[in-house]
Amino acid sequence: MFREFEIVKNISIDKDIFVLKLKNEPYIKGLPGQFAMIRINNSYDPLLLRPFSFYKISSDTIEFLYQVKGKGTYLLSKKRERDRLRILAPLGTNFPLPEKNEKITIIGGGMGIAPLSFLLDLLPEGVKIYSFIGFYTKVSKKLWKNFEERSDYFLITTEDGSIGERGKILDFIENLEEFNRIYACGPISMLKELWKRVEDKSKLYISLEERMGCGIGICLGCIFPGKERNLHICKDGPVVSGVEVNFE
Amino acid sequence: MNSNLKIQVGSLVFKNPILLASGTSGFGKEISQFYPLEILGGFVTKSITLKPKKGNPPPRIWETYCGLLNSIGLENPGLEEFIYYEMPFLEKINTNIFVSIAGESIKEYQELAKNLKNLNISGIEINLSCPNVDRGGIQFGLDPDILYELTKSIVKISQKPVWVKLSPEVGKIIPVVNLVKDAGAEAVVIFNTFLGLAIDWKERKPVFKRIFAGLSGPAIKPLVLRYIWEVYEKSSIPIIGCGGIMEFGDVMEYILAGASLVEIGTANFINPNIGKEIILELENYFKEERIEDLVGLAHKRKEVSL
Ligand SMILES: Cc1cc2nc3c(=O)[nH]c(=O)nc-3n(C[C@H](O)[C@H](O)[C@H](O)COP(=O)(O)O)c2cc1C
Ligand code: FES
Repeated sequence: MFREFEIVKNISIDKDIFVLKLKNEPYIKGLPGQFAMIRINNSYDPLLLRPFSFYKISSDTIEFLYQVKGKGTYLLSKKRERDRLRILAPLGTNFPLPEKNEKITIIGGGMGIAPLSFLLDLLPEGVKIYSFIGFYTKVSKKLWKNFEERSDYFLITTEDGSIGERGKILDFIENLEEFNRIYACGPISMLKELWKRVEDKSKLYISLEERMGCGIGICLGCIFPGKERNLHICKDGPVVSGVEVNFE
Repeated sequence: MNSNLKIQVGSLVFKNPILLASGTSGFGKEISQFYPLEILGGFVTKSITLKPKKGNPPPRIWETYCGLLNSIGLENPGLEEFIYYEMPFLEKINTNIFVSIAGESIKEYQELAKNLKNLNISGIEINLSCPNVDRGGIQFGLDPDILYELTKSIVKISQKPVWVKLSPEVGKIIPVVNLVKDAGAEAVVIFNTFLGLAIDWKERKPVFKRIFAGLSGPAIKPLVLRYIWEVYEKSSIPIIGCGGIMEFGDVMEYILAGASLVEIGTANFINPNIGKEIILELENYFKEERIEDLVGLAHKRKEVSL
């Protein structure tokens, strides 16, 4: 499970936003929503591995989408083609796929679009897809092209109105009850509001984020309050059903 | 298996000096997907309490330079669930299993020891880093009378080897170590985490709800080694070293400074195979010599520097 992969490319596709592409060898069969823990350096600073959701997986390559936010992601952005990275994967739970002919919605905020884009790649024929994605400000079309192309209905918003509608993405979704399933990933405030608005919580699948120490359930660092018990995001998640969590 | 790695501590024999530290590998199931736990010299469970504990709210971990601050708050399933769900797996593992216990009163520790008495485990590790609610919240390790009474009663009740895991807060260590030895402990574990602090300067507030948190990882290794050295010089109780062990060379430093065994903690998070990888390196290194002969050897070679 903890193996070395070669970088095929690691390029910026927008300000601070990168796509890391690895050779899928040894082969990883990861699912949308699942993640990998990446060892960024062979030194002890930064000390911990970093979690990244799968963005795209093919038989030849694995891709991750990331934003440079701190020391770890900064160092990762400096890695070059042919460098090798030690990776623990695949980890965590995945988004369950819908049945044919279901009507679903995909709601993404910011970098939360990464696992949702991968989900889009694997949806069966005949699913009716409504995609809503929101950002703070203008981002490269490379980030949302997949959503625009694969969805039956597509809406993009930015908080400053620099592309798409101006405002927050949830303000543009009127009726959530009409969907058979709702898939979401993004900032916690967005997930919380969404969770409160969805009546039948069993239709809702959200991908959660928290600091991770290990990714495999041994540090107990990645806690999220659940309905009946603590959820450990790396093991019980990152994808959880709306009935499992408690945002009250 | 390489018999040169074998080492005796108190009444127990260990096939090698590598153990996994409490709270850094749960109850073993996760790591056992990476390698069979029986290759380890031993395994220490996550600390258990009498009743289940939910632990602290997030954030619970915070990275520092070469270190990790944690404020998990002893989240654990409690004694009953531990015995029911975790013991059946643990007791099948052919190595020394230590159950770490934590409590908020002497009575709680005693109750735990009573219930562990009949289980198929090698021993008990006492985690002292809890506040003693009967004594205004002072840590157990900081009150000599209580520490003596506690250790003595756990040795008596459990009828098993008992290790006492100290926290760096103990201050003057030699009196404490001797007291623990007199109370009947077979070894001391040095150390639990160091208390540290992080401020989220952007939010202008402490990172953790509990303000202070435990620092572990490579940053603390030299600090711990200095205590291992001192205890080896001035006391005869066997030492289990713990703190910042990341690789083979770190284990060697601990052994040479005077530890008979070591516990690997945070390194499991960075590399879940670390226990196995270090054992393989030990097997290679100790082809001719016996590890037992190297314990504390650096003390004899002080003058050899240069
Ligand atoms: C996330 C985390 C949880 C821990 N939980 C416990 C625990 O339940 N009981 C205990 O005695 N020590 C606990 N420890 C302390 C470790 O066992 C060890 O003493 C300490 O981390 C120093 O070793 P290291 O630098 O190799 O991690 C914990 C440490 C960490 C990082
Ligand atoms: S990240 Fe360690 S338990 Fe989830």
